[in-house]
Amino acid sequence: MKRATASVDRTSTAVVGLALIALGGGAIAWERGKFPGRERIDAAFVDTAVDAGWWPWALAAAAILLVLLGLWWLLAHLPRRSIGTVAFASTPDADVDGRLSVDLSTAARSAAKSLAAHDGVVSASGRSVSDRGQRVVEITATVDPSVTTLDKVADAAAHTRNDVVTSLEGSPTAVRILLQCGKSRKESARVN
Amino acid sequence: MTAPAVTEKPSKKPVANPTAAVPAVLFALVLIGAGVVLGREALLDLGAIDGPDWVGPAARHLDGLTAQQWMLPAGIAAVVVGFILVFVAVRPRRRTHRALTEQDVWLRKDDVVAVARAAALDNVGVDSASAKASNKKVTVSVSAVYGTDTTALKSSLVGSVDDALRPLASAPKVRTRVRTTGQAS
Repeated sequence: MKRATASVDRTSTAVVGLALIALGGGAIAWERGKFPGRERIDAAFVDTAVDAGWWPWALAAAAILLVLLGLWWLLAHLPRRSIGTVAFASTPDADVDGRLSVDLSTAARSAAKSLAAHDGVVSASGRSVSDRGQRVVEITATVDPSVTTLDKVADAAAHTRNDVVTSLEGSPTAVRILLQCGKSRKESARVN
Repeated sequence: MTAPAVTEKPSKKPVANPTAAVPAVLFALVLIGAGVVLGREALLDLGAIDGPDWVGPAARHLDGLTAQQWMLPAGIAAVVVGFILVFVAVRPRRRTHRALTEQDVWLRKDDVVAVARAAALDNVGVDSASAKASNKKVTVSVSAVYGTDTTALKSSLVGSVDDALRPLASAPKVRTRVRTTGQAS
């Protein structure tokens, strides 16, 4: 999830929450008669507004705005964080000025392939993601459930990680290798 | 054993999406719904379609509104939901993985249990095994075949599970529970 989306989510959730607390608290106090002299809401302007010539156009504008906003917000939550290519040597002290670029997804996939060839690793997949403002090559490796120690797999993962870091040196990219276990013996036995 | 260290900006901890994403998607749907209702009303007022007005009468209803009895329970409900939303908004993202000693290598949280269980099953005399794990402790419960030396089994269990989980950056304490099954012959 993009950092911007995450903070919009948090902020709006907090704002709606606070608004509900204020509105609910107000309603409780009003019902209990804590607002003497304000027993009736005076909103005569609403009548004028609804009858005004601009009313339908205001409605239409608000409708378009709300639908667009809602769609944008919804689409921002689609799990599509792939970031494609990055330029090499985009650091200030570099001679090359973004002429050389690398497709991170391809780099991730090939690293995953080499990790998958190791003993104890059943399969691995790689992708490039943007995570909280950081470009990350993320490799997810499924470990053989019958593996009785993490040592070898962790070692292989560390090698793969270092290979990726070395090959991407000069590009602002981090690497992350996530290990997960395959189905346990019991579960796979049930399948058979 | 350890690969040559190539250190460059470590990646951030793998975490789940913020919980606030759930109400946010709901809000987005509500926005779209409200937009559709407003758009329908606009088309009605412009004479493009026929049907009853919703927004106009609802807005007019606001004028001269007095406190109603239903506002007390509704207000309480709104305050409760409001507090839940504020809590959700500030809730930190859940960590999904545990760090290994190797830089940038992580193990999925639930799989600590799977590894511990596989290591336990590898011991001689173990018939079946289950495991539970918290951040600091792993408890392995095994049932051993009848006649197994439980004291020896316990120490070998602790050793093998310890070994299996050694790559974890913060190694959990291992506890064992051994139960013997089977009939005396």
